[in-house]
Amino acid sequence: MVEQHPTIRGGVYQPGFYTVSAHVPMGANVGATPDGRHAGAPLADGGLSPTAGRDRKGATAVLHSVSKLDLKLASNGTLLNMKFLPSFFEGPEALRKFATLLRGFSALHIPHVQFNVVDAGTLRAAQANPDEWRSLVVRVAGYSAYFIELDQELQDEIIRRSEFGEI
Amino acid sequence: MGLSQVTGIVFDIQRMSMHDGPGLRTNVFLKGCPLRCAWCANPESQASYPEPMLRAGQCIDCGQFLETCTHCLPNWRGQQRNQTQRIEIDERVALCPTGAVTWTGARRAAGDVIAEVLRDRPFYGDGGGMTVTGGEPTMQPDFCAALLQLAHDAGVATALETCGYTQWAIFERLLPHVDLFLYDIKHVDAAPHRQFTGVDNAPILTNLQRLTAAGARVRARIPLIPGFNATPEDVAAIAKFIAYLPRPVQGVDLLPYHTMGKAKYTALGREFPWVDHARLTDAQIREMATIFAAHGLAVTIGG
Repeated sequence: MVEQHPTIRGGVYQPGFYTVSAHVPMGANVGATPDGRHAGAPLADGGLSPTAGRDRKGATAVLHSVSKLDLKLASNGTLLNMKFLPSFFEGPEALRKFATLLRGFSALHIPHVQFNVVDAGTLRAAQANPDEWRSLVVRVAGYSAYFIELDQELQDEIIRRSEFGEI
Repeated sequence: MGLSQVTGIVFDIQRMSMHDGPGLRTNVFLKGCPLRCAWCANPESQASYPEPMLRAGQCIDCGQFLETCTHCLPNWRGQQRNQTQRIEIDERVALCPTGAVTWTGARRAAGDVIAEVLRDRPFYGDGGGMTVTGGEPTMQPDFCAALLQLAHDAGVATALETCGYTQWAIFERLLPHVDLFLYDIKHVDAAPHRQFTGVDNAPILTNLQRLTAAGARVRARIPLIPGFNATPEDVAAIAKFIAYLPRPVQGVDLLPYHTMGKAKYTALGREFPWVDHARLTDAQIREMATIFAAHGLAVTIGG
């Protein structure tokens, strides 16, 4: 469809699946969406990232969903953000598992992903706005859990620990 | 009936788990457990039937029902629901705008579960695969066997996490389709084991001896629970038992006590039974790890 519309100087448009930081102002001009997003709320924070809180089944499921799109059509590029806690990268075993995730990512032929490592500030934001951070997974003592489903008391403790980078 | 059609009660499927077995794994949680450990972090895993849960923090008092869900919860406690109650709960689950009311546990077919497990096949390199856990998966032996065999048929490696409290014949049946057992040892002393888990530990210890003798690959998993087994003496007795098994285990995982399950007790309308116990300090946990290492066991902290 894009190809049917030349640019004002006769060139071709290059579709790109990314919002960079424009997801907030763009969201302000978009009405409510059927996924439960309120009118004016921010859009997803990358062209391919799930809207905040919609990815309920973890990172591998996100990569799978993204791999279903024909990204060759996005000749201007794509943007996929994923967030992890520092503990995800702690120690040689964790790094090996991260490498496995990356190998799966490339096996699925996804052209781009970038990783954010969240900090205590993010966790505080999640505590204040649980709906936007529904999918944030944290680890405590060998167990993983959705941060927003934890007791306030335990959330506070994890925030304290993350400030010292030892989750 | 084909293996795919065998059904069982599943209460969760957790993708990209990094902590219950090697590599990246998909954990399938089977509902029902013969033990009632006082510190249990997954109380919704204990009863073998589906149960309603209410996360009161997510309830917005929507006013769709004469009685609020919070008001109704006390009637839902720890019992199988009759038909009328089930319909009432189904309605609430279907209409809840925030997902505060849910059923935990649903009957699913093995083929359907495996289809979900296979979605993450690109990530099962480097030793990853499916872990069947619970609850106690051997409580549903046919379903458990079907899941393990279907995974193997699809070329996916398997692990089985178990409390060991089952009949030997069931382990014998599952053995060919389990690549790694994650086997919990909580106490070698019978009296505290009975007092705090509700069952005798003799079958658990004997089954572990027989499993290793039969050549199974096993990682022993030890929950470190203050007030139950987290003393140097109790831990040394466990280490000694593991070190003298007929064949060596792959390693030992220490799982320090945590209170992450507390909110789930509230959601099920139950009291958290294991209060007033402080968490272990890092120094204490390291001391316990040293004891296992001194018995020649490869030990890790956390799953």
